Amino acid sequence: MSTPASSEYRNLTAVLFQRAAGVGTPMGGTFELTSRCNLACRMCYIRHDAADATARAGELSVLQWLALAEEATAAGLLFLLLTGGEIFLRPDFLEIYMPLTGMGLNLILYSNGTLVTPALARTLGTRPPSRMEVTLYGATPETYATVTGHADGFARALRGIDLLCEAGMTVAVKFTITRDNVHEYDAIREIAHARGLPVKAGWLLTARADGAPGNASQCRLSSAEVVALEGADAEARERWATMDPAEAAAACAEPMYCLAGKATFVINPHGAMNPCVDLPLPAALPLEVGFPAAWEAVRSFVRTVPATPECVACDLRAYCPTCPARAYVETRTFTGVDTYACAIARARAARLADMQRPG
Amino acid sequence: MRIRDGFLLRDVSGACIVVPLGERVVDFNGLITLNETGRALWERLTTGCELGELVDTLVRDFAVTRGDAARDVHAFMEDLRAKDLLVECP
Repeated sequence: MSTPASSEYRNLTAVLFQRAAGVGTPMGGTFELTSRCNLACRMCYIRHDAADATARAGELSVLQWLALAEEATAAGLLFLLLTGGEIFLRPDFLEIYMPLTGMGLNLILYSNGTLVTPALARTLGTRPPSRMEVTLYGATPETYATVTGHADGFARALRGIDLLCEAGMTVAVKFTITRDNVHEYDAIREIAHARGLPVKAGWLLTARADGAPGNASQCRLSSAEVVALEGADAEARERWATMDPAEAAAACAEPMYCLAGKATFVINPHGAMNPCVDLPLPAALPLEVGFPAAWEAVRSFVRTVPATPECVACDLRAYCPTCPARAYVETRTFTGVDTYACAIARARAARLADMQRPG
Repeated sequence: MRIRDGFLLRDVSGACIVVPLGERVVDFNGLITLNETGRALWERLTTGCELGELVDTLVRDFAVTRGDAARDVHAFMEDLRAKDLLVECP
């Protein structure tokens, strides 16, 4: 018997996902309930304006999401993430969420926390998800405003986190690292730890999945900044110091080397199913062909994704954060070279060589 | 005694997994994996039974000695009690 914070739980879920990937069970799913958001982060890979009528009109209805959840659960779905955009922008969010809590799913919610009210937190607390992750975009109103365009969002997000904690929910703080807020990483940790909450930080910003112009490339850290960040993190230092490059390269020998399209899937706000949030293909339509057929289309698709020739021949594969989905969103082809990832791989390898040099 | 209400036993990718439902997540936020004997005991406990019946189930269905079955049942029940998953039947 294991609970989300324990290493036993992490080991259990890892074993379950490997087993699911082996037999092609869609054990992990993501429902992007909306692409709309009340914040305006420049680096976002999905965002539309909160009032975007076109985006709103294309969103699946409550009944459509619930029908998909029932079909997916029958096919083996166990872990379901509800995300956006901002999930609480949907006035019918609870109409989707509450029935899901009775389906035998392990539910996870992602939110920016700014729309959490006392009543919403209390209601969620009566039938809580297994965990809720709330993203903070800065540790001060000024930085929060620089990243999101909303200075008042900082206080509202903090209040949202506190309300969720008071309602007894399992909460983690997420931190999306950009050039504009990286200097507040320690302060974010202090905010989280003062509340007894873990921090999940990520710096790998990707371009918009829909191919629309975005600003991820202007917002993301340089390769030198990434390596400096990892060098300051004890866990990352340990991971790199103990890594076996041959073993790490072998682990990503297949083009699609992660669980996407093998044990996990994403359904976007308009009902298209893909292997992961970054990849807008193959856009299978489970509401038209049925969930099992759509899942088979996604599984077949990931088996046909080609490798980038330069990556196959690259000596730095073990240090590289790229994958076909990243290559696609960065270059709009699967075989394009993700030059940002190349720069990071080179910087990591150089730093590791420095660490290993005698004296 | 029996298992508290609010749990669903599911078969996913060949694994037997118990998931808490709805408000049950408030006091049990996690997952339970069961092997074959655990599943047999859990299913008996869902409708309610006595310790002796659980031992009988293992002896009958898993070809184990009564002593081994009693030990396994005792360990399983201790685990369930520790998680506060059992209630006395009226």
